[in-house]
Amino acid sequence: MFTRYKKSFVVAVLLLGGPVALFLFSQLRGDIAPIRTVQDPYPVFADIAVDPGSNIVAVADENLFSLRTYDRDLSSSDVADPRTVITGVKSGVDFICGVAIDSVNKQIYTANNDTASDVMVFNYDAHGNVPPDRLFTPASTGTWGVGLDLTHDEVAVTVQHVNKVAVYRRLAAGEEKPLRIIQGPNTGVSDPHGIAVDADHDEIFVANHDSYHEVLAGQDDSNAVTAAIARGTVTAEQLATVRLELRPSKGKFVEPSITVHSRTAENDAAPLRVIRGPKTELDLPMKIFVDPVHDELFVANSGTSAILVFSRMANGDVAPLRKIQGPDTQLKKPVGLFVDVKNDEVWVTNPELHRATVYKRTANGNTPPLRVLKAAPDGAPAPGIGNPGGIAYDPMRQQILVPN
Amino acid sequence: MANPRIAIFARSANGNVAPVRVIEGGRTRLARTSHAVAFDEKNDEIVVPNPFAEAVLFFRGNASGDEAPIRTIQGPKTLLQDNDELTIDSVNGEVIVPTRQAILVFSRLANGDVAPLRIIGGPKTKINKARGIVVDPVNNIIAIGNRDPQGILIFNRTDQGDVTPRTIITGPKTGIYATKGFTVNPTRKELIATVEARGVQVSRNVGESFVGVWNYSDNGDVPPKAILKGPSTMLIAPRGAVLNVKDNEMYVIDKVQNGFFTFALDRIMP
Repeated sequence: MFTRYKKSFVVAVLLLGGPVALFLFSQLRGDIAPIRTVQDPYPVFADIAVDPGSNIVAVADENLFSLRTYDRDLSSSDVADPRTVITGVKSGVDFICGVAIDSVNKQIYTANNDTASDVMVFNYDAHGNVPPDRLFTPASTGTWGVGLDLTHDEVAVTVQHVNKVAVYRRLAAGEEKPLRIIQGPNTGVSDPHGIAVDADHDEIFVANHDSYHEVLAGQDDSNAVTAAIARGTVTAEQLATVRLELRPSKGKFVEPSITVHSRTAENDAAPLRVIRGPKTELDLPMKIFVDPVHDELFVANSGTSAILVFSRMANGDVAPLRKIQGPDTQLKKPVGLFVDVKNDEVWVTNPELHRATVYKRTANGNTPPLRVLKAAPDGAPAPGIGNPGGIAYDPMRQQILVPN
Repeated sequence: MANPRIAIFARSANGNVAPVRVIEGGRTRLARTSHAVAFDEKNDEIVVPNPFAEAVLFFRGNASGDEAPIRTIQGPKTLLQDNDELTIDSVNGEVIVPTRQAILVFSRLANGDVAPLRIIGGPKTKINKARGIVVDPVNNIIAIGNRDPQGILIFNRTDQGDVTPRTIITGPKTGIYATKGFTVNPTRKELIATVEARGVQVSRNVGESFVGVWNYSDNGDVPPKAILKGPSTMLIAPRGAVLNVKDNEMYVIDKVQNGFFTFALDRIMP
């Protein structure tokens, strides 16, 4: 009896002590756990798109690297349950930004920003860690917005790092080249974000930020090799490329703008119209949406926490026709936007609040949302760290600084 | 987050917490892809690059909200290009900005279209596709991550022109695939580098990348004298690190984890 207890004791010591010893050994070798972590456990909504016919809302989550769909008519005031969540290494979903929805072919498009700049296309019913139906790579880094043109079977993409719009066949895949690009100093394209294709009027709208450096039409990203190193795909040939010589800097700040281009514009073609100037109130314009039915242009204006609505034909330094703005709107640094013409609604994402808010399409002023799609409980903090690259410490204030 | 910003957290922040203040908005002139930030303790300033506008921005140390920079280095004479990183030398009043092929040194007080005070660049420097930089103004060194040769180049702080590095840490024993960020411990003459393992941004494997510690005097194929690596670290793609020696802490930012981690310094470097 005693021997049996003794044996059990030895077995228990081995079972319990083994992992403890392993843990202690691992700590000695540098496998040390952090004493504190700062991370957001919730999805952070970037862009959004709606298919009212299928009752689907598609949302890009840039924090947990997921593409989610929800019921459009969700009415719960709790954290929303998604219909589908596409995430995981096989999916290729990374730091995604732009989203577009193809209600005819039942597919969702999304673009990885930063290092992995792929555009991925998923079927509506895709769920889990699944590969996209197809994928193409418009740049070495920095894709942001996606605009679908189902009339001409094309998809247009913005590339932040090289001030470019690239237009592909809708069914583009793999290494396929774009049908045409808009790029160059005359285009007015500058750190581009949102993009909208107005197939009815043969125009492409682009939202531009204020940071500009000159990139010529067709010029490659000088950071392409660095991006390949980061992805782990760099080749010996790439590494052997000639060193870049120093040259006079060509960077400057410009006014944020919406440039309007011919749908078939190519290379360094000048825009047809430019919305720009103090009356426009444009400030970090993110996603844009053209409503051809009501001849309006919607802008998620992050800098002023507002949704600006312009005439579709607006040009120059013009004031918005109306704007959704104010404390009751629950807007905070909005990024994504979609106008559901069928249901007369406008959807907006507020990444710093973990939520999307829905308004009447004609809402004006300090208007509360009709309903809210929540990714986190009310009041959940948002660290707001996205694809970070640097960190600093301020010993005077005992504070840690993190840029995006 | 898609919005360009600098988020500022309390040192003791832990868990899912909001920053104590944020610098963001159109007046800030910030863009995304600022892969470094520096705090100038002597002059109470924040310095950050904006590579999309080929600019370097200086903010008040206590800047908040939609606040404009107090100085901006930008223009043809600056030679800025692909300038997503920088480091500050508070002692000598200089801001040091790598391009992918050279190191540009500016006066801290430079404003507008100003030429660099010094440039380290040329074939002898071996600077090629550089990533990550740090200065130690006490021991007068500049360290920069490099891809070809793959490793760390260490220069004298006052080097200028086409000069050979004083030492190069490179070779299979170093374990370096791609350096991303640096910090230094001047008292111990130690260089601390965040090193990303190949393909982790795609695989998202935890614990393959590491933070390594080398002596300033290391040269050649030298393994790190101390290392922070393994699944317990939670690190996937460590991009930057900074020391707070007074409180025995090191802060490491991780690109894939979208967060930062605080480690006890004496556990890593007893």
